[in-house]
Amino acid sequence: MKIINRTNIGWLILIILTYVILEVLTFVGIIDPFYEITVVNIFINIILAVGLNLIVGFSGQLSLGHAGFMAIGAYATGILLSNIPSTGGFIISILMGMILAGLVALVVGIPTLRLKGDYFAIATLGASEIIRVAILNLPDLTNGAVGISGIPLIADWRFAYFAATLTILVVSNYIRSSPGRATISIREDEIAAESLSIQTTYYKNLAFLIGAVTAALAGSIHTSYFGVINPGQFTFNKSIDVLIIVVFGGIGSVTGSIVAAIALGIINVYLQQFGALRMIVYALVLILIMIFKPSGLMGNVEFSLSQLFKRPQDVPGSIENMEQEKGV
Amino acid sequence: MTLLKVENVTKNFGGLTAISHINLEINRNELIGLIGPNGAGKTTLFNLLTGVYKPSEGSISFKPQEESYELSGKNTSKIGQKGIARTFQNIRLFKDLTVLENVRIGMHTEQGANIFHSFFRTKEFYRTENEMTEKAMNLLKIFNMEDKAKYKASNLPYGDQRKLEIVRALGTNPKLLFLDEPAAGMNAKESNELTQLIQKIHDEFDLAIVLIEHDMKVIMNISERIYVLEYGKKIAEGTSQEIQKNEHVIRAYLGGD
Repeated sequence: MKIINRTNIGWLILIILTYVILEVLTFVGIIDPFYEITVVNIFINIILAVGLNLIVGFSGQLSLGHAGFMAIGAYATGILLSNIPSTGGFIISILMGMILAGLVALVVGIPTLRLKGDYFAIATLGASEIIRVAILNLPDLTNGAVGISGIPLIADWRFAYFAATLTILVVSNYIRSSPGRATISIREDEIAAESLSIQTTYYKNLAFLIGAVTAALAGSIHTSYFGVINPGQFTFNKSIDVLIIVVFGGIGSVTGSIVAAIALGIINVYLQQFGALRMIVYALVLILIMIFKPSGLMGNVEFSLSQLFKRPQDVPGSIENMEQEKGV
Repeated sequence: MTLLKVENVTKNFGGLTAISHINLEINRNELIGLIGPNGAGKTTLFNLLTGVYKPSEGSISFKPQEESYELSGKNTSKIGQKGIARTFQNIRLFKDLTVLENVRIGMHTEQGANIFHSFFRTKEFYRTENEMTEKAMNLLKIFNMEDKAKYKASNLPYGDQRKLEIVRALGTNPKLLFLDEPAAGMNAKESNELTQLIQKIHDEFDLAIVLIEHDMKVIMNISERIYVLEYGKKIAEGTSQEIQKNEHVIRAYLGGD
């Protein structure tokens, strides 16, 4: 199969089309500055949820510390960008955040992902709290509890869109590849995966690493779009918020995470006029999902262009047809 | 030529000795039966040989090619990479994945694309992926399962699930294959087919097979040599005729003083 094929061209068109639609909506004024914040928030949540879904939904390891990695990216950008206020500085700060988050992920993951059971969840929870408390207690670097403000606003919604698209592409390419299948096999049955000579610890760490790095990217965008950060934004609650998106959309479905991030983002906007009632409605929606669709909006089904393009004469077993046959 | 040599292997769980001073030798391309009453330690021995448990004592050396490797203390995936595969007493398929995906996961370590190629879908990615799919389909074809390639593994009938587990293990391209009670829960017709299937694997693939089985018909028909365990000890070894006449074995199964 060639790289330039129907499916890949289809995806490219879809990406460009979405961009053009957003650009037009902004130009016409339907997406005003207020809605633009919602749109960027949705993109940030997509990056966070897709990354966390790789850890929780595909490698099957419960991580409760996603906010910690986001904080690393956010503060890397916050500190560096205040000192080097340029696009170059922004790019460097993103890379720094990613590297730092990756290193922390390895430090947490290598010892704990060898163990089976809940240790990993506890360790990630602990790690994210350590990161937050460290930020609080390094006032020279991070300005402590007050946080950093007046950070140059370099990221716009276009950059957020680009980053979200890249994250989705990389993560979905990964899970539909051979190493990705190895990662999924760990979720399905770790003992069987090991007996098929799959290095389970390696792939669990890899999934965790990718998740952490994307969370740092989300943090960087958050910082440079809103210009204000403080440690209170990256508490355990933030990790749970992201986890809710993952569960809401379907554990083990990238499509689900995207749909849920968009749906919850929109629900949030319309609920803002109800004030305090907002949280109650929000909770009700979640409870209803749990009752009527316990596996999440999408279950573990993925949206697939190759499935739409499928023709009867396609050879069985070719990759185009592999993508979405879970429910056969 | 010796493929696997187990010397003086012992496994204690606290005060309980599950396997005690076992010695065995498996030659290239041999088909070995491993029998014994319930609780004799057959599965524990498999778990020791595949690294699920670490032996308390003794050594296991494996010689797939010229070089010989020490396996005791190594973890399961390392042992798998050297060329040992297994199936499980209670089926352990990747239930939510398709038949084809199950087989392709078995092939990953040997011939999967690396992470870089997977992230960016390079030419190399498509090449390895196509090659792997083709190989997996060929393997399924040998076992007449190619038309079920897209079924979810959990939707297969019981006999096919057993079969798929064997196919998946063969996907790792092993030199030594452990089958843990493959005929468990099968009726006479199915276990007959299974006997032929194991015979076929033995004839067509370049590998040795060790078979745990309670179905004596299966064991006696196809094993070239048989080891008998009781209470964690090896009580007999030999051809099926020798084992059938062996007094220790008769006593282990039927009782007596």
